[in-house]
Amino acid sequence: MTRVISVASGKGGVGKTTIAANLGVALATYGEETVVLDADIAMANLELILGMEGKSVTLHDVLSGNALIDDAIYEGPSGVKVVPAGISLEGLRKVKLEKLEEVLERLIEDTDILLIDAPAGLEKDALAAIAAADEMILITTPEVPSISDALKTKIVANKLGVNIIGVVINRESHDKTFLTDNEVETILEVPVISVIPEDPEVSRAAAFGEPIVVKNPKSPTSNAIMKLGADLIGEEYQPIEPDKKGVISKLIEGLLGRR
Amino acid sequence: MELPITKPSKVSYADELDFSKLLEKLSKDRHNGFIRVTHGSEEGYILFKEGRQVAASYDRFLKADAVEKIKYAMGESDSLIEVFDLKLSQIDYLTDINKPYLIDSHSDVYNMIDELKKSGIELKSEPEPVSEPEPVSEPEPVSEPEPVSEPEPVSEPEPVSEPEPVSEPEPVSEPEPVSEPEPVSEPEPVSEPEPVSEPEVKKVVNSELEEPVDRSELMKKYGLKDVEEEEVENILESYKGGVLSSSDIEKIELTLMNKIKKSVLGIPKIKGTEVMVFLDNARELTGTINMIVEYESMGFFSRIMGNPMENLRKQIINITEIEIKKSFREYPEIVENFEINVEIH
Repeated sequence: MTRVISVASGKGGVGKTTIAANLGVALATYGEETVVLDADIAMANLELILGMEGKSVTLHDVLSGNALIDDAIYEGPSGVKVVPAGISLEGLRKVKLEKLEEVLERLIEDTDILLIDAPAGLEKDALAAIAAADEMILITTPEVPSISDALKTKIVANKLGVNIIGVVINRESHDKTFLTDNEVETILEVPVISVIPEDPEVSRAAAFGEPIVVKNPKSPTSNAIMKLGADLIGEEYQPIEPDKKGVISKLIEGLLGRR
Repeated sequence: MELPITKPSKVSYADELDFSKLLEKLSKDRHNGFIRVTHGSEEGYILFKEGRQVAASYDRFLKADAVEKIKYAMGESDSLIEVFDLKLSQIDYLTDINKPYLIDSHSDVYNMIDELKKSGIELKSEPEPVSEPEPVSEPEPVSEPEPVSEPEPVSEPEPVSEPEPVSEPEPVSEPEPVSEPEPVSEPEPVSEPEPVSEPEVKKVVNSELEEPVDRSELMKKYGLKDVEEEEVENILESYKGGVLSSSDIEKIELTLMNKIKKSVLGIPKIKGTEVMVFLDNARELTGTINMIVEYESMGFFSRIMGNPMENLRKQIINITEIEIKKSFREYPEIVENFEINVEIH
């Protein structure tokens, strides 16, 4: 049976799309038929993170009744399927959210896991994305405004009957001034299922239009996301250790002709 | 100190702002919140309640000493200062969990003095010097329980009158023990007593700090609130409104059509009318209403009077708009989303 999981946050800019994109790639790497749907029709950037911008048919077109969903599915890194939202704001007003359900019905046909990248906030479009899923992963940073919005989102999702798998704390930076993992868990009353550290590699990967789990699989962020993916499907994950050799020893090896 | 770090309302380097003026301003504005001063790896905090400095820490220093250290750190151009705003209710909670750092309450500052007295150190010598009005000169005058202020008396309400250390402005809320009449003399002596002895005490206190684990305490600490049931309902209401099903739309169209038809037929001399309502449930509900109206032939007088058809058309549009508004009582602005076409025969 297909699992439909929304990735939501409440507050914008907490790294929801980055996590949704990379988690999708991670799940596809484990052999799961995975589709990532960018439901953020107003602020789409899933396609930017995956280096798939400029696709001719997008969710916009489908929800406006101008295209079929089959034409809006593209293959991304590691075989993950992606439905981009389309960056153009043109036609946004024509979008019919109730069509989303129809779209999902088609998408889950040959899929193991459908990840929905939900828009930030609790407007109609965000609620439609949350309500369309059976499960939800809540993303937050360890800061008060982000936790506050995550709390609202969690309460609303509960009301909609969505099962909340857990909360992912993104951009953790052992700064004592932020909320601790325990505090986040206590406030949200949801288990912390992953803690992703603050990592400059993430922005670097995004600049290259590549998911970090592909571009830099040894980074702490990649390890955390791969582990999250493994946990979701009950797999074991062995973290990839970063190279311990220093630059100088690599240089010497290079000079000596060894690799 | 245990303080909730959120987005600072002001950030500045020490050489870009006058620290004493900032303290003065916070006092004048009856600021609720705290400042964080970062110098190298050391951090200091001063917590303000209605403009009064109620608690302070700097690295391993507490209370008045911490304030002194902070002032010293502010003399370094690369120190960073951030101002954070909080709600009064949060301050009460924070003073509660940060008791060891309270500079305000009678207790600590005076206890320190007592300690010094007991240990028979320097206090004796100093007592008199107090008289000096200008504390500024030395870097040391610091230790005064006085919150901030060196040059600027401002931070203190009426510094002049009371040399009072602890001096509360008008601490209605605090049960300030300020009562001490003599303190005048004390404050000074303290100045000397150099920190040597203090550190230990502070360390002990530090270790006593316990992290609140109770959810309601955490919520208070960070100024968070659970969402009210009513708010959730409102949010979901807007959601339901946005996803009308096709059958809902048909029902609305039919209802609206009947209501408009009935109203239009109430206009004298209208023999019959056909009303068609087409709703479009995109991100916002919009619609088109087309009407064909059969009117009795106009009399000679009406024809002479100008453009009677135009007036009738306006009247029908008016009636239709009223029906739309009545149908969407909670959202009358929706009438703007309708296009109304009237054809009169």
